[in-house]
Amino acid sequence: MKNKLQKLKQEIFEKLEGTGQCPVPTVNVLRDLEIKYLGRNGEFTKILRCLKDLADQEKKEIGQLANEIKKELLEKFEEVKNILTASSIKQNFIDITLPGEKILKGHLHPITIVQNELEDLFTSMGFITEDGPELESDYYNFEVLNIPKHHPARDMQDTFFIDQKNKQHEHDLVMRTQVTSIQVRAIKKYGAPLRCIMPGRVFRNEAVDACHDHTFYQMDGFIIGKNLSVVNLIALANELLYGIFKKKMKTRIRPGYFPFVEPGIEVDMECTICNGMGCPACKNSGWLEMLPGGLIHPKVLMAAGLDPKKYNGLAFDVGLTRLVMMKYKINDIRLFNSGDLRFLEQF
Amino acid sequence: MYLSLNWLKDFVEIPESLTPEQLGLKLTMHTVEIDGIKKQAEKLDDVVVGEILEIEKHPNADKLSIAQVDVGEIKPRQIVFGQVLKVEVGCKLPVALAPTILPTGQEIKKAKLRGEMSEGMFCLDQELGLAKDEISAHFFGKEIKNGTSIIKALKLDDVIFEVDNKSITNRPDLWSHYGMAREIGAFLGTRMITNQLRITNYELKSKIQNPKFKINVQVEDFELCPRYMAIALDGIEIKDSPEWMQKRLVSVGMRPINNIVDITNYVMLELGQPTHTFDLGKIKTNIIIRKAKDGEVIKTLDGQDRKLDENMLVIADDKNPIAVAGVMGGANSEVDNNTTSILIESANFNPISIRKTAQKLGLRSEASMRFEKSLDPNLCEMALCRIIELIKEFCPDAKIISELADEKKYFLNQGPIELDLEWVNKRIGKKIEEKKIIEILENLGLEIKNKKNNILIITIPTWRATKDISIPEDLVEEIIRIYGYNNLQPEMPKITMQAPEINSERLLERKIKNILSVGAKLTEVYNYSFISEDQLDKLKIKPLSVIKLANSLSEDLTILRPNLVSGLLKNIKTNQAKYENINLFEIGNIFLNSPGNINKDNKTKDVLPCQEKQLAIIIASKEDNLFYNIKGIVEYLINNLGLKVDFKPAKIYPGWADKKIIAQIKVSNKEIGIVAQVDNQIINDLGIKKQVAIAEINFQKLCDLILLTPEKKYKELEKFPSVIRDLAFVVNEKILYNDVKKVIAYFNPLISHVELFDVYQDDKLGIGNKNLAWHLTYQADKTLISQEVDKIQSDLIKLLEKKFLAQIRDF
Repeated sequence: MKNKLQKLKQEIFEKLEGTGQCPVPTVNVLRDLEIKYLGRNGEFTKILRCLKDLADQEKKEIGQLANEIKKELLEKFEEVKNILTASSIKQNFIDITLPGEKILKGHLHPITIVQNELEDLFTSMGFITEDGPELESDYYNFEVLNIPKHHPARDMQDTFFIDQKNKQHEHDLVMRTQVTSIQVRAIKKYGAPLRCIMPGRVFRNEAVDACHDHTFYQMDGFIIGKNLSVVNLIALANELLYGIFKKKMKTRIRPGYFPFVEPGIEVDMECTICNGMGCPACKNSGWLEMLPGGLIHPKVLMAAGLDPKKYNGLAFDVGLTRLVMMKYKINDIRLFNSGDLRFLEQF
Repeated sequence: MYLSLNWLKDFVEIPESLTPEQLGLKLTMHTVEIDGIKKQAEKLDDVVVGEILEIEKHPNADKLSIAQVDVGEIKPRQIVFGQVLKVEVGCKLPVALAPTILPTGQEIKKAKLRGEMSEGMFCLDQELGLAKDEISAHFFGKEIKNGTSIIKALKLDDVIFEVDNKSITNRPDLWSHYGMAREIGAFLGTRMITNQLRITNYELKSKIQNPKFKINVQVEDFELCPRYMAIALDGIEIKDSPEWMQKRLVSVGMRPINNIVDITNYVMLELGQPTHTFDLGKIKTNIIIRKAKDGEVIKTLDGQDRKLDENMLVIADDKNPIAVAGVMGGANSEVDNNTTSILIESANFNPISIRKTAQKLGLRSEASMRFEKSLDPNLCEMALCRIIELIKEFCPDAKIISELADEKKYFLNQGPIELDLEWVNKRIGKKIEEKKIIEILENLGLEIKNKKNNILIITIPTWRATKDISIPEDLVEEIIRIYGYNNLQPEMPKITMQAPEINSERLLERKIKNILSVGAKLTEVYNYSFISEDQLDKLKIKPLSVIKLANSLSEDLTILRPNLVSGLLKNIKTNQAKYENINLFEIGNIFLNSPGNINKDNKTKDVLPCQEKQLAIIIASKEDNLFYNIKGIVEYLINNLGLKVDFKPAKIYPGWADKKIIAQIKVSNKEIGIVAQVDNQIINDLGIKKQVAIAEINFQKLCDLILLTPEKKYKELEKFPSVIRDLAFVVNEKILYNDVKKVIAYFNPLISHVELFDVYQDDKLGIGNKNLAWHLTYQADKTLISQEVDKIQSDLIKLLEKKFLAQIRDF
């Protein structure tokens, strides 16, 4: 038994050392050898299994020897393995600048990306996000917003009408021209007080060019509460611009006319391209129209079932598509709905 | 709308120290948006008066001539010119001295034109930026010295402001120089100059001596025409209006025509009241303001025949309509060069009626634009007086020959409004001194009638009373915009801290978009909501239940998309040349012509047409296992949402789907959509050169199922090892995986997991057969021994042999 063990040890050592410096060519060959001798059914293991048939004295003696030899063998295998690994690095040059294995990437639409950011910003300030129908009634898109039929303010938004007439033979269904159309629906649903944003797709029957599309995105927001004031609206507008641009933006406030607010304002932001010096992007004024807004008109509150003596509100609109264009410096609005992967894959 | 600074100065004091830019900014910050400011003299420094000394033909060009021009320099300049203007020796005209750049951006260089040197250019008004259309030029008299700057010679000292019309939609009083001057006076705190308009109604009446006749004005409906004033004059001589008036009209974009027409235009731009003059010789003096008869036709001043309907208001004499009220006059009563007597109309019309008529006729005139804003009926009088004053100035022989007709019936809501100053301060968020508030309101022409405690009783002036100011909120705006928004200190609202309600659908949409883009490597697209009928036609979808637009923008955007597929297929075509594999998804609304579940208004039970959110995935490539790829994507999505998905033979086949390669998507035993390969014929028709597969999922149904799914619960880890056995057998190809899997999975409770890892077909297996290879996992609450598993597996094999005629294969 002893001899058998010693002989096997010698055989293994010869195979591992041989005459040359390292006769084992690769790590794989080494592993095969390890399995052949030391594996579960390996030759050395088989011998060890026979130990149980020996007499106690012999078992102890040979057992000890076998363990020593096994330890030696394991060490030898490890040593050769280290040599092999080291030499492989020495021998084969690794071009570490070669590209890694390619993993495909998907893309979100740029408007989705910015809309998500805005929703998060507003959620952090306690706003609910509310959806509404894109095909809307004249009632919610105009009438409850203090824009009665044949009001000149309807010219401010060229409207797509649906080819269906009501009992009075009027076109009373439209593609919503503004997400403000959700306002009265939202107030009726949640009541007061309320903080709410309404992002979505809007439609205008306008000729299309690089700056205008018949389909674009807005995000409106409003607060219903008690004694909300003009200074509150201005502060909120400044805070929103800070949240969007991540730095304090210079603003100016001027009057603006929107039938559903009174008073109505426009918040202009100093042009980010020319820093207020005047450039084509800001039509040489140095300012960009960013946030129209105002205190909600009492007629709108009444349409939503609120008592204007008890509650009032402030409202604003963020031109989502325009914001995305500003953020990524996109100069053609038509790209958003082009489905062109060369555009979409950039985001 | 354009405003002339000089014209504004007729009515309000504007300090010389205030630059046009500063005034423009103040207008923007207090009243209306100024889109642009143009100084007439800008870029005209190098244009001077020149006199033509000599003209000769250009030796190398038939259409060109060469002039020697005295421009006040030591030597005459040589100028090559064309045939646009007729000029001769001795003419004095504007000459641009090269090198210079004109207001239009045109660059004038010293250069050879067909071999002859040209050192400048004769300038048309258009080239000097003095007129918009038509071709005109200024010629100067002998008294103007050669070399005089054109700025001096033409007194180009005016500044023109361009007003954004949208920002004065609600202000009928601002559509004129006079109205704007009143506003400027209010925010500058300076005085109005009113002596320009010195004739009062009283004076006008006193000027009517021995009227020859009475004009019979009959207003049928005062609702539609609250006021109609008319007066007749003779002794009219039609000629050009004086240069000062022409110059003003041109400067604000109005074309001079003749003295009478110019006066009415001038007064409209000055006071905001549109008026009309009829040739008295062409009409009867019974004026009826009535609704048109259905089908009645009138030729308007622009030479077009207009077919009228019974909702349109016309001005008629005994017989015919002579004008479309408030929109445009008729050609039959037009003032022409032979006119000697006229009838002047100064009237007020119902804004809605005017607006509807103008829209229907497609005729938005300067007049209708003003009437539709709700003009103050008192303005009629002022305008009429001003017109008569100007006519007398231009035609000294003119005489009033009729009585003044003035039919009126109107009511203006001038308040009073009670304004609680404490409430005003709350709305603004800052305390503004009472004195300041009163000053602002009074400067705007509001009258403070009374004051008790902290409440002002305020009367609205007529020009703001038509609809602009009617509630206290309107007054808050007046106070704050004149006070200046930028004089306020911003302050955040004080609001109770409260976690917002979660819009779980929105969150889910975001989650799905992330799974599909970040996880499944698809690209999100947005497509328009509008498509063409042709697009649907190509998809073999009958346009039975689609919704159409009444006024579409173009042929290919006429209907609301009833699916997302049409847009996505278009996207494949757009990208196919540049991309081998295209993987896209879209979440968007589709529209169906059936009742939906959203209420239409607050009054009835009517609902809006059905619009539901849909999710669609499209993949395209040259490979042919697309159907299984897209199924994989759907499985990945649904699994990531914590649900399991089944695919069952479809019951509904959209026109575009390959009838053999389509399955319905089932989640929790509810159908939520379909997955299918697109029919080859349709792909060809669409010009797509790849195979395409599509999944369509009803977003709402998917959402509902997910929201019903309970929270994930941790399952204890297995304590005992499982045993995995492989199993392969040949069955007929028509036997469905679903059915076989079900038999195996439910065969014994110890079979915990069944996975198909290979399918192949080969003639060696027998024609029409397929081989299915499975991994079966056995799991028990103890360590399983071989014999147990062997027994189950062999029983299973027996069943499969019996049920599916399976032939077991050895490994």
